[in-house]
Amino acid sequence: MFYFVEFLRAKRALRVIFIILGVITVAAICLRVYLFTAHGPEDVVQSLRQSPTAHVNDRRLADGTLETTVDDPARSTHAVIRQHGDEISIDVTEPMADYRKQTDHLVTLGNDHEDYTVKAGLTHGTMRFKEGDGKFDLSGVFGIAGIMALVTATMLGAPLAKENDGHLDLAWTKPVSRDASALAAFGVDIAAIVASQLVTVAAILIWVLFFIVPAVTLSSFAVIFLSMITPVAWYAMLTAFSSSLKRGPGLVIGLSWPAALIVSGVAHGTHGAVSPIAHAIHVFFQVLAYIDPLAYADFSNGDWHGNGAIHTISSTIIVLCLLAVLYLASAVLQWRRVEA
Amino acid sequence: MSITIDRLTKKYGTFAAVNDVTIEIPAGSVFGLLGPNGAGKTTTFKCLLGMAAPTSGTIAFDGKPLTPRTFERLSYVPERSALYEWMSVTEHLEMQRRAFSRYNAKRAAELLDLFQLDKRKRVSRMSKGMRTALAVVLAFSTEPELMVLDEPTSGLDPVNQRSVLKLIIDASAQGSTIVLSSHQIGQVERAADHIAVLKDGRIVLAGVVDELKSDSKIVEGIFETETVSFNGLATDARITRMERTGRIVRFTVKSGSDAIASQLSAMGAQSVRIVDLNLEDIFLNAVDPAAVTADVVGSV
Repeated sequence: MFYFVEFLRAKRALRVIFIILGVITVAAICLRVYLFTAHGPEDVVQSLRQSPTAHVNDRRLADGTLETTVDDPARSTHAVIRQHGDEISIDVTEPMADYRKQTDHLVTLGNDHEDYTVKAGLTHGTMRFKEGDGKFDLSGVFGIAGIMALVTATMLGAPLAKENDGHLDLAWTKPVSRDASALAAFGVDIAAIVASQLVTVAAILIWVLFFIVPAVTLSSFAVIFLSMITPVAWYAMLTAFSSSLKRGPGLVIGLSWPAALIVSGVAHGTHGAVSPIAHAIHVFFQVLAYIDPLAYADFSNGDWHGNGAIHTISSTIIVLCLLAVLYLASAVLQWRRVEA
Repeated sequence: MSITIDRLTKKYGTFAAVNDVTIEIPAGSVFGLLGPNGAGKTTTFKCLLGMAAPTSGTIAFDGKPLTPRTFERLSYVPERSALYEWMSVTEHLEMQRRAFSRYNAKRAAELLDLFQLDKRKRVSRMSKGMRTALAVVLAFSTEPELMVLDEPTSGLDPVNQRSVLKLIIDASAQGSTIVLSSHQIGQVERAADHIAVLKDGRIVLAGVVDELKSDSKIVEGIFETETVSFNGLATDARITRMERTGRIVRFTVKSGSDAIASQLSAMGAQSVRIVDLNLEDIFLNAVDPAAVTADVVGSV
């Protein structure tokens, strides 16, 4: 096993990912505990209904909405509550102190809107709540996890330059060819990049389970594949651009994100420019953007903007696969020519 | 494992770091490659191990070119530490275990004890000497047939230097071929049976150590005063070098050492003795004979 050093590097990178996910998990647990002390819209409805002096009148409207009128003259409270499916709306007029008691620490896991006015010592508030439908698109989760995989790819990028940074006397005196050792290192790193993405997907699902039981759906396999191939292509690019370096692989890694984001940002920003100079800038940066894997990193489903002339997800996936293969082949060819 | 280096040249641009070097290293020998700084020793090793491509010339191991499989039987201690700063001693040993089928864990443990290395320690926390010791442990733990050792005692204390020397001699006794480079000429003298001296990328002297030593003798005379003149001897073709320190004078002679000794006695020397040359004398004569002779002749 000649990839032991790279295996240790990958383990260290994954440890960083685990630490990040662990911190977020702790934050999610804290939020869950906090939510136990908070109350939701159902609690507001209950507190309005349960007043001993309240007159409560329920009626079912033609569209199925349950309309509850709460009239409580003793507490100067009047409320109309409408519940339809996962939507609740509350129109309430009551003293400011009572209103505050109900709305402070009010938390909902869906969409909410709250507005109020104060007139003659009474507060008139309007609250609208819509609980989430619990649907959870796995391709979107992979997209988010793809960002973590990009972080892993950046940490593991430039494996050959790291060997060239003073370790060739050890790396090249093992009973294995340079090509085989380079390919083994790539294999280990790519496995670690994919593993970091899968672990992040699992972590996101666990975080969601803290709050709701999700109905997991899958809208697009293509987005999942795109979110997985983009970090690999990014890793391949970092490796190719650094494999001849004798010193300072960190410089390539450090500058890679700003450079890649500038390239894709300028290419998109100057798209459709009319001035000849801006158009020339667009052409220049668009050419660079074609070989910049980050310029393809759009993991959204349905709002796909593409990269220059490459408009479809399938063509983007093919381009990224080609880029990954070409970059890694280029890295191996350069590695053959390196001298200690 | 024998090594044949035939007309090896390595150029960087127009600069020839190694120039037309031919060396034959017999199997089972301890071969000392000597030379001043920048002579081309490390470049020769890099070419030997395939880490630098020769500009011209060939290298063969048991008559065959270097292949990845050759490294199953070969180990290397580089001049500068190539260890991974962030890895521990244990992780380095594990790296060797996984890479080399000949790795001997028991031997590695013995060597760790010998150099008193802490297995849990990271390289970043180790001194230069400890790093050299770990490199030596890694090299010897695979029980190789050929060892290329570039300054294997660099940074080590005298006790550990002695241990490394013993390891080299023991490995040689068990049939390993050792190629050794060191500025500690005394150590090379103790271990090596063959040497080559490189200067400015070229071989200026090569041969069997005992034969090189027997080529010349030192004739040493002690006189009563410091004012004795040796002008007659300064032009003697048999003398390659003269040194004078106070009342003591030393002549390096190629032949006729008995005759020179008799001449010194006749010139009034209180005592005269003939001794063998040591490797340091041979090395100094080889790398800059003219300068040494001129300097000493001038002072005589």
